Amino acid sequence: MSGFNLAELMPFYLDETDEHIAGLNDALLRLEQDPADARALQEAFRMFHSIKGASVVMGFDPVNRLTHHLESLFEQLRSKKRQLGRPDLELTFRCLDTLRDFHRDLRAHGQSPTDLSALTAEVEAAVRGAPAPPATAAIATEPPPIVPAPVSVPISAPASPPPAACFDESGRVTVTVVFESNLPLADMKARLVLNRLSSRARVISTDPPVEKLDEVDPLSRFTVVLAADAAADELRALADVEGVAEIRVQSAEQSRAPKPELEPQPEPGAVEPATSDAAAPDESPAPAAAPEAPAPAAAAHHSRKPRVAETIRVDSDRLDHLMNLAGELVITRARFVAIARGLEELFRGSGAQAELPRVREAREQVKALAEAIHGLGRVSDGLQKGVLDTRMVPIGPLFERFRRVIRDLSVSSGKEVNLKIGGEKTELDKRMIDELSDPLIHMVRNAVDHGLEPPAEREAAGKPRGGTVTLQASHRGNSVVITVSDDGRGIDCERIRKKIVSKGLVDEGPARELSDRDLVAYIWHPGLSTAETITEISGRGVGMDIVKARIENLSGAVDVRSVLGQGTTFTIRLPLTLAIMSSLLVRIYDETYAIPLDHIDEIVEIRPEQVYRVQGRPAIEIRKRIVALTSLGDVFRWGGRPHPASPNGHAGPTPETNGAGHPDDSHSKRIVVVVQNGETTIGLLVDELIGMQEVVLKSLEKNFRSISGLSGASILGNGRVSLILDLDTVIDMVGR
Amino acid sequence: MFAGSRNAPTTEGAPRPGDASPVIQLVGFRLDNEDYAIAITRIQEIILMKPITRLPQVPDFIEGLINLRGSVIPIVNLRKRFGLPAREVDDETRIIVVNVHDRTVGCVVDAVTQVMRINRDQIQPPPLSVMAVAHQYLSGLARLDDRLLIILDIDRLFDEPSLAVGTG
Repeated sequence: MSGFNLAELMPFYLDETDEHIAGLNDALLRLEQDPADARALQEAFRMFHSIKGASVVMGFDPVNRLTHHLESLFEQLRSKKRQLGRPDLELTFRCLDTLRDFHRDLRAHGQSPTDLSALTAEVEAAVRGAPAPPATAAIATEPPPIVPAPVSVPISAPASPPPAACFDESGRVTVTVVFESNLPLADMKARLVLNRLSSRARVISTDPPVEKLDEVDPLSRFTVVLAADAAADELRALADVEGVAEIRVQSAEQSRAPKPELEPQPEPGAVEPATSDAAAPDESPAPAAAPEAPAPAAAAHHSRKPRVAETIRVDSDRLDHLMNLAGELVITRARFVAIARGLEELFRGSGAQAELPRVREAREQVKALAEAIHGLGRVSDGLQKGVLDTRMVPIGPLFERFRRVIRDLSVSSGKEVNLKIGGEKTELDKRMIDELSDPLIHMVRNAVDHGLEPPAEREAAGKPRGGTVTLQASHRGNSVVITVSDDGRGIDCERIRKKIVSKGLVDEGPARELSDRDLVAYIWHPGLSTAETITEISGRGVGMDIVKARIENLSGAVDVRSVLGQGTTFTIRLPLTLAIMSSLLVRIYDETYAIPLDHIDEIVEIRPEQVYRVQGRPAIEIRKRIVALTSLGDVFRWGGRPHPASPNGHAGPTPETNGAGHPDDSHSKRIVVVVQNGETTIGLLVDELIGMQEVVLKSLEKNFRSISGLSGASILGNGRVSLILDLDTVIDMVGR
Repeated sequence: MFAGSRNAPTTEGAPRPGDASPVIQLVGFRLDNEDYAIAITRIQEIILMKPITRLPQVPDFIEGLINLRGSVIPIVNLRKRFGLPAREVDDETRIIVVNVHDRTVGCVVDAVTQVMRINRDQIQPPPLSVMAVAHQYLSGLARLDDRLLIILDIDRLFDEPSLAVGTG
């Protein structure tokens, strides 16, 4: 045990245990629906077993003891010595919560004050109180063999961990080792492998045969057929000697039929013969097996499992580092492009003296440079995308966690709640998923507590008794859109109106003038909660403001729409990744700004006479719509003054009166970038369009602080810093 | 690195009375003909002036942002910070890059003079309001030949709302 460093194993242990706890929650929820769900029982048993095993290694005895008894409990359930009742279910849920807390503390502080002993005693008592005495001794050590475990174990599920009994009916296992190329003394290694394997199982034959080993040169692979009932992992470990590049462990059956799941060959004993039309073998080996035959059922389930992608756990700091390097590469490439362009122009200018052969030669070199840069671009784009992809994970697991949240909320609130999930394959940056968890939980709680009505009230309103909360994710251009909606009573604007007056946020007169839209926006106000009663979970009036802040911290935006009596929908819009943005580079005054492409509707040129005045403010007509025309000078101040390079930078009239009058100053055409934040569209005056570019977002907070109106900075090809406009905020600032 | 660095203080942070080592190393620089110094332990590097991207919504002593080998760092103009008259950038102008509160910040100074070693007992506590610099940003004064050296406490200098997170 002293061989490895436990501290290094800790992150893996915690990650794995988190996954198991999430999986257990899922299994228990399914058991709550169907207490006889054999697959869920099996999964729960296996996961408790895994946690137990891992906790022993880490020396967490309390966890070990608790999971040991839980494992015993599920062994009783699994083997039908016990019926799963509500008390068992509740007890297990409590255990999961406690285990989760315990491990969360462990992750945060390296230890946990949570005492597991009381729960352990409870579970132990439950196990002992079982109708039939549990065979604890039998199950304490080994994972359950998936009895007769017939043959149809697909090779294509390499990462699914069940302790595969990889032998066929005759118990024959083929172990093939592939040696590293040009391995010296490969025949000696082969003998060593054979020796080690024979310590565990009887050797039936080898290929090449042992006596011919030294004749085969080079010896690249060695196959041993064993009569064994050992687990694949064990054999694999035995065969793993130095110089072995690859180990394959197969049952004889698998080697005969490499893709059993595609070939509807009814296996004797696995599926009913084709005489019964109910169990006609077809492409899907689905639930053909009756529940009375647990073994085939397990096998069928196994082969139905979708292929699990092989994964690797990587410290996210390492990925961040790679990400930064990829970003640097993109910047360096942009720099090369700029240099090549400069050279090209230089030589174009010297065309008059083209009789000089050296100039011609240099031109060729410049051309070659441009081609090389093009190649570099392809590689850096690919690398960047590849690194980016490593950070992208589906949102599904995050959504799945809400099944448990909804269940608990539905119990505690006495409301019937269904959860609908959509778009779970939508991928976004891992860090974003981590940060989204809390805001989403708050929104879902809000939907159940404040949105959904009690069953009786729903029935009275002609709605189904059970309310529905929907979590939906989708890609939209460069963004991910996540919606949290409910079919509850909607936001009562009149109540908000009363509330803001009674809290003194707005005077009664002006409050009467506010539109529904204005009123709904008050839900983001700190200290305003529309719930009639304060519940344990939400309703303290803190939260929605924090939700908004959290999402804005992720460079996202959140919006709410509500129809009284029909429900409320929160829409969260997030960039696909925090790190890289497609943007339009523009020059405004003397600076280069990046405008995120997903906020740009179009780019137009306007003449001064096309600018209208609406209540003294400039506006232009874009596709029959009047939109406000603004310049950065209207929203920003530089050191408390207009920008020195702006038209009113030299002690002119105040920007209030003239900054927006910008277009009047010039008789030539002006460029306007039409931008929107999903609700409001404005025209932003720019001095020059530079071009589109992927920019690597660098946070301003890292060395400075956040600045409203900017989402960050980025480094350009010429090495200078450009600022990235945060249009959601800029548009807000214009409205003010 | 520097002569006699074996005896150099190993303490981090600004020189404060009460630190163990009797000798501290300082980097001297000039602002409006006055001599200033910062503890060498806080200085990451000293670079030439480079193009600065102007930032909106910040006080005027924040010049803007520069790219320091892939990091985006803010640049503070110490003249403006201390209310001294402005001065054109010239060959002597430098940016002193310091590490403060887990951040990297550049300070524009007129010129960097020298690295010096000073005995702690040579440092006098700052008198109340004798100079442009508010006394809370000083960790002390020291007499150097016939000149007065103003030792800055950069932790306190950058420990103010205009440089803090979340006040945008």
